[in-house]
Amino acid sequence: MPLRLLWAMLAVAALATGCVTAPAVRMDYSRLYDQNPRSILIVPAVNRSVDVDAPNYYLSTIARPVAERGYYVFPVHLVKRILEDDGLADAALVHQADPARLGEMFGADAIMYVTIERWDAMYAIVSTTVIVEFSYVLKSAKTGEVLWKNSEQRTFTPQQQNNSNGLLANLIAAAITRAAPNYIPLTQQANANAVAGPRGLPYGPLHPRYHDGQPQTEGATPAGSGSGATDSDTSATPPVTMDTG
Amino acid sequence: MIRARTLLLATVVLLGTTGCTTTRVFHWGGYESALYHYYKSPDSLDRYAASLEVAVREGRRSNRTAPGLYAEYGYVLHLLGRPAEALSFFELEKATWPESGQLMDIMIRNITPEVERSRTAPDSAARPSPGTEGEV
Repeated sequence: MPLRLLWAMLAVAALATGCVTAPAVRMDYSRLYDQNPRSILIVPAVNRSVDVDAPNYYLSTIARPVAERGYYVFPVHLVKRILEDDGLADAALVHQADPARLGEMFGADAIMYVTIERWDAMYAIVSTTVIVEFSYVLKSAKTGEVLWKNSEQRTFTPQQQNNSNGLLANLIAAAITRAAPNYIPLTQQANANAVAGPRGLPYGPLHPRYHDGQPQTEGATPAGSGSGATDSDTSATPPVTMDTG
Repeated sequence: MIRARTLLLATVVLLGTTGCTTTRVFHWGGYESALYHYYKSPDSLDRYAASLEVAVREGRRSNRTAPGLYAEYGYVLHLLGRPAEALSFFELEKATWPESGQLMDIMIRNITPEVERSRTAPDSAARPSPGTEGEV
């Protein structure tokens, strides 16, 4: 019995780590493929929740999954400080600003905007329930059009053993204590799943598996869109090796 | 029983690796939690700097430093009143990631006068006060 249980746990763990190679859900990536961004400017999140700390958790854990997907991500803290110096300390102002202007300021191809829709922690004597909801939008810095969007809602409680996500949820819940809650594992997972999960971003130019699952140039995309002339321009980036360890 | 233990170990190892191991491309060190703790206590710039220093050193050794980390470290060095080192990391970011060129040119242009001042008066006390977030 315990052996079978462990096999099940292992299977669930494998599924829960967000290790998805190809998007399983049909998503319209045509605009993204058309624009073929190399660099993404991630700006601070608009916070619609009551948790003042939520934007910090978000900003600390968003650069890694996006860069690991194969895009150059501008240094998020430096970007935040520059925006503040430019009179854009309020994230809502940044989100309302013209994407083309932001793109010009930083030399970015695309801009990622995130809104924290919900962040509720309900502490009880034994268990704690945390509900987070983020929405993600990637816009072109050239045309301002939406290239990709996704949203992520997660509920975590320690009493979730029967749920298919139970083991990982418990791991995350273990870090959420009343005295000194640590939401980093939670936001890491939400951001990773949004960006690299079934509805995530396709592999970008910095990833060894760039082009996997993408329409091979022409094919699906309509002609006359200037074609992908930037594809060969990878010589200047450092050698990227897979971490097999 | 041994098999059960092996399986449990495999599960724990799999859970311990956040995200997917096969797609881990870059070295990040403790960047995420260090940045978060810096936001929580802005007077802990030294700890954030130390964490970035390690991440960048390890990343350079394996040639896998994550995008943006050299620039983040360069900015911290600027805050700590070490403009010459800051400049070298902005240049390193630009050389490693041409995508950062425009932004790094701005950083380099802004910090160059500071570097020259510190060279002409190396022992003077006329340094920016470390720890405060001055102008970029």
